[in-house]
Amino acid sequence: MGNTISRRTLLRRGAVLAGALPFAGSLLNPAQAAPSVTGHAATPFSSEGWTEREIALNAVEPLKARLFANENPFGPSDKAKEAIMNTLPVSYQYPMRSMGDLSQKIADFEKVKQENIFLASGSSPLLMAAALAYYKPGCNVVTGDPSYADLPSKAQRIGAKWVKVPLTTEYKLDLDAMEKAIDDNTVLVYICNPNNPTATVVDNAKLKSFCDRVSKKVTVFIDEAYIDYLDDPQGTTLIPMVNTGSNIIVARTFSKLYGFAGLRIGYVVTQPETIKKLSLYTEASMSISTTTLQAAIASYQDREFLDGALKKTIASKSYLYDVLKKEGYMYVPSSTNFVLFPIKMDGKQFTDEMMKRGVGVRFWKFNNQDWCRISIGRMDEMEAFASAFKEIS
Amino acid sequence: MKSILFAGVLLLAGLGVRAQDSTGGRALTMEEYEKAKTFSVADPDKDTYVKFENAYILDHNGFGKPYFITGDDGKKKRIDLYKLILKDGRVELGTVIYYTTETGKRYTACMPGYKAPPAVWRKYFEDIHAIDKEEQFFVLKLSYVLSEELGYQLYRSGMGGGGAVSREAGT
Ligand SMILES: Cc1ncc(COP(=O)(O)O)c(C=O)c1O
Repeated sequence: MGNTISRRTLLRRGAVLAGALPFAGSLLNPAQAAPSVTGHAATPFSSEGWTEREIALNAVEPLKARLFANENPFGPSDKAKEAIMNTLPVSYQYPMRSMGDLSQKIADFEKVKQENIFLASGSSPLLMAAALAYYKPGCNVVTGDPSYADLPSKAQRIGAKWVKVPLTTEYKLDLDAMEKAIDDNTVLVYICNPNNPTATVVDNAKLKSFCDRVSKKVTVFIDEAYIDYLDDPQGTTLIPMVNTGSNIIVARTFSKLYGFAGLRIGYVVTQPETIKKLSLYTEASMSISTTTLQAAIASYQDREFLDGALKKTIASKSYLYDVLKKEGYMYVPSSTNFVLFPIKMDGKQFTDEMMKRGVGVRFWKFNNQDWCRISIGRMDEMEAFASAFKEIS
Repeated sequence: MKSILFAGVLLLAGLGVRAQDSTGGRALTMEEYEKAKTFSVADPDKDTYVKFENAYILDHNGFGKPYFITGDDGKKKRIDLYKLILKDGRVELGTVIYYTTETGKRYTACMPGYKAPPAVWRKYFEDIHAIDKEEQFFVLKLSYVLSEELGYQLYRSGMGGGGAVSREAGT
């Protein structure tokens, strides 16, 4: 047993005893409901537990349930696997042509031009490229808090300020407060919709009018990694705004519902000049493998597979909700393949105890509360979670 | 449907999902005291968080490594401490002590929480005294451990519970 954990637990207990903050209406503590700015190497406003990489490297073997990285265990599709096998013999070739084949397919489906699409090996390299491309001395990036930390943490690493705007009492991005937080030094506004780790979605009309106004002043980066899990992705995506010339970058990935997290492919849809700007900072296209490209082409908009994966995700999620309710726990209703719920002990202790029982999940701390984020897995994984959870709930 | 569930989330949050005062105004009863002494953790090296009757939790987290004590008698004893927590409301009721001798025999004691009634405290003193008659230096060796724990807890509260308060920080 690590001593660090023990101390932290003690510490927290002490703090809770001394602080005794009453919760008002929600777990959102009003004292925190104002944007906070953190500079380089400052302590983040909300804090995340171990990252997915750290959890994976420290996981017990064999892991009964891998529920810490928001992957889709029902993928990739059979068509994708078949395409990979068929492509292997020609995988000595650079995938110059197939890149265009995929971006054309996406362009046709989304009703944009091919020149609006920039492919990369996952959306992560593009988040990184945006952080680098928009940086200038004294700049800041505005995000929700908590939200997906990749882009702003990279921007912070190179010297940008990270302006963190607390979520609403419904754990959604607070678009009004985010708009107010923008100043002359803001170079990017990062909108994660649906938001990770809360799995909430903002009102669509509100987001569109937000982007309409804000993108006239500053580039808005909309990360739609989990949009495929929504009932109406086409009615929700902001990609159509690219056609009207908006200064926005919409990021998409095959890592989630398509089940390609290990195959690595994603893209942004934006203005051609923005692509030119981003391409200075990423190898992007040259980092995608032939096999992955062909797999993506074969399974793009494969409704049979996608609907099947969605159905299984919903079944596992509803099982999870029942487990949580039965154990007397609440949760933030989820629009994605992960669920955030408040826990009754220190987050690190909770994830350690779960990992000891072969179940990998992540924790967050915000609003004076510890939270568990659990990805939706196969039913056997959810059952493994349930039996481990019952032991410590 | 979604908003109904959401209301549920907020409602619970309003009640406070975490015990604000870890004693919760609730103290260890005599019945619980007797019961806690029967709670057995199979392997203190592995079992750091164990539930009993889905109502009580023994939580080793927070107590660091096990204590090993070899006194003048040269006999090595192992002492493991666990917080006794009432699951409902996460109320800390006391501390369960496993005292393992050099032959592997285990004695279990339950130190009541501060708010426990005098009768429970009296019973605890009688019980450890009784063990001491059977197991030489039990109370003495236990007092080393509890003294060090008290020292650490006072140090920690003196630091206001803030910052990185490590067990080694004072050494
Ligand atoms: C919101 C969000 N954006 C982007 C990513 C990165 O995905 P990838 O690089 O696999 O496309 C993730 C991964 O978890 C995510 O949650």
